Amino acid sequence: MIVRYSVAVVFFKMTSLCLYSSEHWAYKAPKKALVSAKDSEAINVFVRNAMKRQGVRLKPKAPRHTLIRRLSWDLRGLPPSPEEVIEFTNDNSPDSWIKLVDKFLESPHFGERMAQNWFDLARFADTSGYAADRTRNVWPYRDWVIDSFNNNMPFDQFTIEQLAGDMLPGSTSEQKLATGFHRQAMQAKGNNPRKEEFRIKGIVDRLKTTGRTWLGLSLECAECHDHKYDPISQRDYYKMFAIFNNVPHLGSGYNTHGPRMKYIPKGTQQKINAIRQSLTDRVKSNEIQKFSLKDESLIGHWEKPQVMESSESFSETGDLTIVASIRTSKPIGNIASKYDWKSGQRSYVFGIGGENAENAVPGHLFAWISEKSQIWSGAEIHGSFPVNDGKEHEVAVVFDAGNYLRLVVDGVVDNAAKIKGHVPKSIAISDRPLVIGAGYNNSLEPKSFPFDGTLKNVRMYRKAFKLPVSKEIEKLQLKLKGLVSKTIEVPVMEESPDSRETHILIRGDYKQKGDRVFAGIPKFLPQPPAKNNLNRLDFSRWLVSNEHPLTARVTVNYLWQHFFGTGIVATPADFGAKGEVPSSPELLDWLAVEFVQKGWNYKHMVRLIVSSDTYQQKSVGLSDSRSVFGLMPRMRLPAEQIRDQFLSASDLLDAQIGGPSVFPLQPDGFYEERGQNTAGNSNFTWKVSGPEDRYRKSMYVYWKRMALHPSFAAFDAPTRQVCVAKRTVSNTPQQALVTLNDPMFDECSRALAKNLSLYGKGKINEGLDHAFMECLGRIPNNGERIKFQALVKNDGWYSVCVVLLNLDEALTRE
Amino acid sequence: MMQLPIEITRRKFLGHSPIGIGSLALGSLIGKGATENNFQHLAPRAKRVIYLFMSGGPSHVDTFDPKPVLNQRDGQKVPQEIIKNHEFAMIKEAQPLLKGSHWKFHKKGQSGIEVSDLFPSVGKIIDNVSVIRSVHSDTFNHDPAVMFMNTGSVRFGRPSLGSWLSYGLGSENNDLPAFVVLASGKNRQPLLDSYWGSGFLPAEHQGVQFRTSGDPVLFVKNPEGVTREQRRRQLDLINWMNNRRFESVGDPEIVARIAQYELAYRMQMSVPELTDISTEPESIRKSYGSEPGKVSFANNCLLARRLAERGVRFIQLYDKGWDSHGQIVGDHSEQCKKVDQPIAALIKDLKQRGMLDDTLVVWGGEFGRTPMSQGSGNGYGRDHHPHGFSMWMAGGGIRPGHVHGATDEFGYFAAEDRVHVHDLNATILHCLGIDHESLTFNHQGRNFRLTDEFGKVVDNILS
Repeated sequence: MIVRYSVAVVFFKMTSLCLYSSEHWAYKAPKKALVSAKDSEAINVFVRNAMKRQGVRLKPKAPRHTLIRRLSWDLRGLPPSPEEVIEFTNDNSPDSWIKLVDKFLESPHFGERMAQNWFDLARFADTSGYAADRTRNVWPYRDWVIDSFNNNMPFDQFTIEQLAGDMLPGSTSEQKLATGFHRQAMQAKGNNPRKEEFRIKGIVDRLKTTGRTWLGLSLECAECHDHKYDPISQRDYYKMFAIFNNVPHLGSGYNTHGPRMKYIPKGTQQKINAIRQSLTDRVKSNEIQKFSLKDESLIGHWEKPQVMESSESFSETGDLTIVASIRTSKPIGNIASKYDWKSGQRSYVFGIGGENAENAVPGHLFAWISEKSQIWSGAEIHGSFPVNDGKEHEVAVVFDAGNYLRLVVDGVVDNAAKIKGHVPKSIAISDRPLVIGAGYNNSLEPKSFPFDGTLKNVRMYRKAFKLPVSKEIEKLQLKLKGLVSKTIEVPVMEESPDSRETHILIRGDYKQKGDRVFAGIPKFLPQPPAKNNLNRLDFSRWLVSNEHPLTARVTVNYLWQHFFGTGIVATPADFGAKGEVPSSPELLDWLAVEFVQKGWNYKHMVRLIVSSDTYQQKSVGLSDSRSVFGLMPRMRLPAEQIRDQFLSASDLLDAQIGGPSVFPLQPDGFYEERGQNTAGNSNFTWKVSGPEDRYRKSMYVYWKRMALHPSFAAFDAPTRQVCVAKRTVSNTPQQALVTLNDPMFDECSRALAKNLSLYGKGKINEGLDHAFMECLGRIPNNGERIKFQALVKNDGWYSVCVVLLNLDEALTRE
Repeated sequence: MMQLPIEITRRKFLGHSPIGIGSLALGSLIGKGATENNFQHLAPRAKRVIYLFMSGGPSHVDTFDPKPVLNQRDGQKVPQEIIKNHEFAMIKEAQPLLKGSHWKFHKKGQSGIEVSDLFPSVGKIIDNVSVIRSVHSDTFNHDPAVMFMNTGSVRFGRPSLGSWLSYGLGSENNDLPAFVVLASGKNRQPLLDSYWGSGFLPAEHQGVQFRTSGDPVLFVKNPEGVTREQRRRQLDLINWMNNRRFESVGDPEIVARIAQYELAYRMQMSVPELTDISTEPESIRKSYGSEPGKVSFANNCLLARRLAERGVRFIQLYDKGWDSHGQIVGDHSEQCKKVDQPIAALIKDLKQRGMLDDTLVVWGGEFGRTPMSQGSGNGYGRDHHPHGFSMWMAGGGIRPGHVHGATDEFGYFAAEDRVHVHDLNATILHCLGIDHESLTFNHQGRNFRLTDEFGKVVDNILS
């Protein structure tokens, strides 16, 4: 012990000497060493060199059934099907391996498997953490990540969209959704004096996560004092803090949160679009209603914005229809208005975006009609979908006094529109003149809410058009209404227009403010283009600038860790002075540069690594692989894959991608005994999913941070309270109890046994082949066959399944 | 005809492994820690800890810290200079009112330590106890405060005390985990897994919750219809297959897995036997007030003794329901009634068996409660209070019948011989023979310890 201590002291002194040195390898841009080999051979060359220095060689190639299983686990997170194994082991063509690699790379499960690792870094979970630990809608973000990996989104774009997608010019709702990454930080109930403290903690967490995920730096050390080993001062820390300090923090109590976005899940949106299209088609083919210029009830017709001179004209009090042809991409704009609520001059108004008032939905149609002018008394209606898509639409509002108020888009009534208040019997008189293409805002001048875009063929009728609706259309509209109601609010990032001041917090105490600081990057790293107010978008672009010394290295290192259990740098989240040095600096740099040169192409890197001889070696024990760089370890499967193996072997697995999280079996009373289900505290109870969701892949299981499903926790699944760069791999008796006895697992053993019961007395050998192929991807050898035959006879197929699924060989990726 | 993949490579690995199998197999079978990480450098006074955690925060001025001045000034405004710059979790008034204790205090035992009427039975065993009246913590919300008490940090991701002990000292029982958690009480503040999490330490050091209803340990029962004989035959074949795999690939993890499956099998026997408190003599059960089959603090105390007997290193009992923001008179009466008798019975039981000498018993919560009332009238309560509160310890290494430290006249600040949470944890480790500064784990390039960079052993309460 004494010896160990003094070694540590010496080591500390040595590192102190090179403290603050920008000479540290990781802070210099990587360079590709010359290799006299094809790119596809580069990995092998570097690994062979590194192994030579350690006096070892690459192991021979693993057997083919092991290889396909390894690749399938690594790329798809699922075992290969027996058919796939047989096909591959019998494929003698020289390109059989690369064909398999490409097939798996194109599998939608590839994105899932890569996302699983990403979620440990992103501390992705379904709940808010801390004592309340409430549900929040984060699964659309989860699906965004899966899709992005599947579509091979370049990693630089993947980075920018997650850190600052909301700030990209003309950002889409998918890009905003991506910023859910930094809304995963835990959030406490905020009704006590420390609401600000918890806000600060959230930002501290963002920095820590960003440091570990992209920079390979333990930034968190500098929260309270200058970093002891790396050249990050406390001032530097708060300069980076300032970059993330500008996000609104709203609400109180359990409702404390950052910005949210209304979001229609992608699958739902596609269904909505399809229904809407078919509605439009039907209307067109039926030629139902035309708002004709020849209709005798027509009282006005305009081709451009204008203001009426007299306030008395168009003072309609009864039935009314307003129609217009519009084309715009702006969220707010009035079509026709005789409505100035701030001055108590209410009558009627029709347009887009609801004048940005309380219930307004930007980009959607709206109309207000009041039967009293001084106070609000009437109905407001908001369309169920945006019309500011830059395309031409014929839109209408139809008011049938005392009966109904409707919005119509391209001839179809928007039945999913939301109505608030009551449909008045009459319309109040306002002394504001009718204005086409603008509105009033506490002023006689109709200069507010101008319609920006094309506004023409505006017509006003003194009647409520009856819009005949067929049963078929009604049915479609009902369906549409159901889908639209599935709109959810998802947490996203947003930038406050007025920026918060950032101060150094002395000893990290949120109450002790020190000097004011401005956003910036520590000096030892390359600097972004000079700019006054460095924001999140600038920062994210800086992270993935081609010359950045850390991001590409850190990313390829995580990838290496995925395939080899240990990174080229064994401390994946610490490339600083106290981190491990790379086992093969040449390999790390070659991969990093290759990654950037190929346009941050993730799948390209995966393909390069798995097609190497290095990847295809026979595996060794994990501890051996840790002491010798370059060996391929046997690795116990992650928690998710353990359960998915059971589901897959038993044919219960439902492999659909994405959607809301699911609830498989969980022990009774698991939450109750921890008081996690207290009313008013937690907003949820674990209700076991029906058959449609119960057997989904494990990555879709509801991830409750403060009480993770015990069977996942037993297999080292992290709670994801904080960013985890590498899971621990333990080997405990609890794990045996889980796979042997947890009803969730036992159910699978029984289902597989049922499938095997088809093999009668004379067919035990075929049954064993089947069972072995499902669980191990191979058939039994003679010795094994004899043992298992005896077990079948003694205890039946169920015991065979329990044994096979509990074997080290089944639980391990070899 | 298609060919099916078959495992043909099978060679003897024995002797080829770079490390050698014999030692590995042993290493993972017995005492993780006992051989690898022994951090016991001092003479240990205690071998194990029973930690009685009153989750929610018991009121010190109503239990172990008598405050005559507070009683005299009941209803007066708390002096401004005391509370300046202080925030409260719930109290909204700028200058809340002082509130004396509803309960009377009496001198107890030979030591004459004053204990309130809330703890009559504990009063009777008070001569075994060192009461610390000057504990203070850094934080006043429940979960950070519990985390702080257990892990020395308000942040998530650090190992808790029990995990540190499991890592530092290992287990004394090969059939049971080193760190066991028991929960009881009424739902108010939820218990979080992180309270007994192993943080950055390997997951095998995390606390395992034993339950008093349902399976005593999750999944310890065979699925319905599976007999012990059947399970044995399954395990025999699993082991046979795993052994062959080991001979073929030489991965020591396989040996460890065989051992863990066997341990699980033994736990399937030992845990139900251990948790079956109905086998205790009636006199013992009666002394604890235990009723088998119920979820109760009394049952957990009795179970704690049984776990301690079997060498479990760290047994932590959480009793929920101490967060009396309102109705403290009724609330605390109810809570104390549930815990008073079992605590006293536990101390006596340990003593009778000669186990109190090497078992450290710790009592306390994540903080105390304000000497000022929250709300008024009969429904008044007290708010969270980390600035000064009481805890007590008894048994292995602790000076019996002693009071350490004091709060000010109102019971607001720890005033004399202040004991910070880090000091408390340093003292607990000291009793187990561990120097708190040398129990470290390297994570992210830095050596972490339970007491951060602080902590001073409270010598005064040691015997």
